[in-house]
Amino acid sequence: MLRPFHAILPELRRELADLERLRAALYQKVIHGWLKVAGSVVIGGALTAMCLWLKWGVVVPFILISAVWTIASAWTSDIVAPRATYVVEFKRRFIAPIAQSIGDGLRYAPNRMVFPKLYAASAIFQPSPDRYGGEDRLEGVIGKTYVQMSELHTEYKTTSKDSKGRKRTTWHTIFKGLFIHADFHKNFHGHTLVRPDFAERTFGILGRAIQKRSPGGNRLVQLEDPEFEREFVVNATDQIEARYILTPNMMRRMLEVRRKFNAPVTFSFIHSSLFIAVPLDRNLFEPRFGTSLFDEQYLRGYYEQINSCVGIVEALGLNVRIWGKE
Amino acid sequence: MDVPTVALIVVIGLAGALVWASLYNTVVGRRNAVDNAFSSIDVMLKRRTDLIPNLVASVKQYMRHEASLLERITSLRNTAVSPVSTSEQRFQAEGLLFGALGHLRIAMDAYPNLRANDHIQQLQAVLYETEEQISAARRAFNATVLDYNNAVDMFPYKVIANMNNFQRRAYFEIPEADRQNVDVGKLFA
Repeated sequence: MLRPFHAILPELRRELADLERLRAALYQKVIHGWLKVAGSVVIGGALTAMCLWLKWGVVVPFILISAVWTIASAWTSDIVAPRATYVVEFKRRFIAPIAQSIGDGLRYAPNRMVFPKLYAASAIFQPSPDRYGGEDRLEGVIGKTYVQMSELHTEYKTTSKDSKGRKRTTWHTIFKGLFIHADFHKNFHGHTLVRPDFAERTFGILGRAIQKRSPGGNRLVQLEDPEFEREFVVNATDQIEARYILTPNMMRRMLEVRRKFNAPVTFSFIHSSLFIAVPLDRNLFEPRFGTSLFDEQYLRGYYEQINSCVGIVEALGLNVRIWGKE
Repeated sequence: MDVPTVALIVVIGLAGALVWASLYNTVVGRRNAVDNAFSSIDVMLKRRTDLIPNLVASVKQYMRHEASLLERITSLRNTAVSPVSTSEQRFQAEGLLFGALGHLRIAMDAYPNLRANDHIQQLQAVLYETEEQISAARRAFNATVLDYNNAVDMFPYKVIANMNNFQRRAYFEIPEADRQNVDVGKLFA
C-alpha cells in the first residue's frame, strides 16, 4: 500500500526543489503577464481618451486592436500557458512518483480517464452520456486487486427551440467526481446496487414504503444494520447474492468509506466487479500556483488525496482472497 | 329495498372481497417466500456436506492429533445426510457443524504442511465460500421470516392470519455453543 508521507517526502526533495524553481519562474512570468494586461488596459484607455479629445478618431481602432492583441497574447503565453506547464510538471514529478510507489506500481496518466466501457458496465448512471471527459487516471494492481480510477465528468444534452425558432443545446451533468473500478474479492453473477438513501432519511418509514414500490427490475433488499439502512438503499437481482456481498463487516466498511469522502457515494456490484462513484465538487491533484512546494502541509494534502483514492482497496478489505477467487 | 341501495351493498361487498383477497394473497405470498428462502439454505447446506468427506480425507494424514475432531465432524455430517434423521436432528447437526468446522480451521493453522498444500487450500477456499453463502441464505431467510411474522402479528393481516391458522415461523439461529468464542488455548491443551 501507500508508504507513510514522511518516508516518501525525502525521496522527492530534489524533484520538489527543481519544481519549486520552475514554479517561482513561471509565477514571475504570470505576474508580468498580468502587468502587461493591466498596462495595456491603462495605456490603451488613456491613448483612446486622448485621441478622442484631440478628435483623432481614426487612430482609435488601431489603438484598440493593439491593446486587445497585447492582452490576448499576454493572456495565453504569460498567464494561461505557465499555469498549464506547472500543472503538467507537478503531476509528472510529484503525483506520478507517489503513484508508482503503490502496490506493483500504479500507472498514472494525467490526461486519461476510466474506459467508457467500464463506466457503462457499472450500470449506475442514466442516461448514456453525450459527452465523456476526465483526467488523472490511476491504474494497476494493489495487493491482489486490480483497480482503475479517475476523475470523470459525463453529460447529456437536450435540444430545444427558442421563441425565434433557433436551435438551442443545453448540457446537463450526469456525474462529476471520482469514479473507481476494482476487481471484487468474491465471485457473483448478478447486480447489487447500493445508492445514497435520500427517501428514508427525509421521509422515514414513508420513504421506505416508497422505495418498496419503486419501479425497476431489481428488488429492494432490507438489511440488518440500521445505520447502513439509513445511509443507503439497496436493490439487487438476487436477495441471497446481495447478502453474500454485503456482509455485516462489508456494510461497516462501506459506511466508513462514505464518512471518509463525506459525499453521497454509490456502490455497484456487478459480475464480480465493484464500481464506486463519489461525486466531488473539487478537482483532484490540481496544484495551487501561488503556494510554495516547501510547505509540507500543502504537499501532505495531495498525499492524502491519493491515499483516499487507493486506500479504498484496504478500506473494503478487497485483498482478502479466501473465498475461491484469486 | 330500492336498486341504488342494492347496488351500494353489492359494491361494498365486492370492495370488501377484493381487500380480503389482497390481504390473504399478501400473507400467503410472504409465507411462500419463507419456504423458498428455506430451500435455498437447504441447497447450500447440502453443498457443504458434500465437501466435508473430501476435506477430512485430505487433512487426516497430516492432523493425526486431531483425530477426535475429525471423527466428530464426520459423525455430524453423516447425521445431517442420513435419511433416517428427523428434520430437527438434521438441523441440529448442521448447526453443530458450524462450530466444529470453525475449530478445524483454527487447528489447521498449526500445521504448516497444510498451508503449503494447494489442494487443501483450494478446498478451504470453497468451504469458506460455501459457509459465506450459507450465512447469506440464512440472513435472507430470516428477513423473509421477519416480513411474514410481521404480517401474522400486525393488523389488518393478523385478522386473515388468525382466520386461516397461519402460525409464526422460527428464525434460523446458530446453536448457543457455536456463538461462544472459540478458546484457542483449549484446542492446543
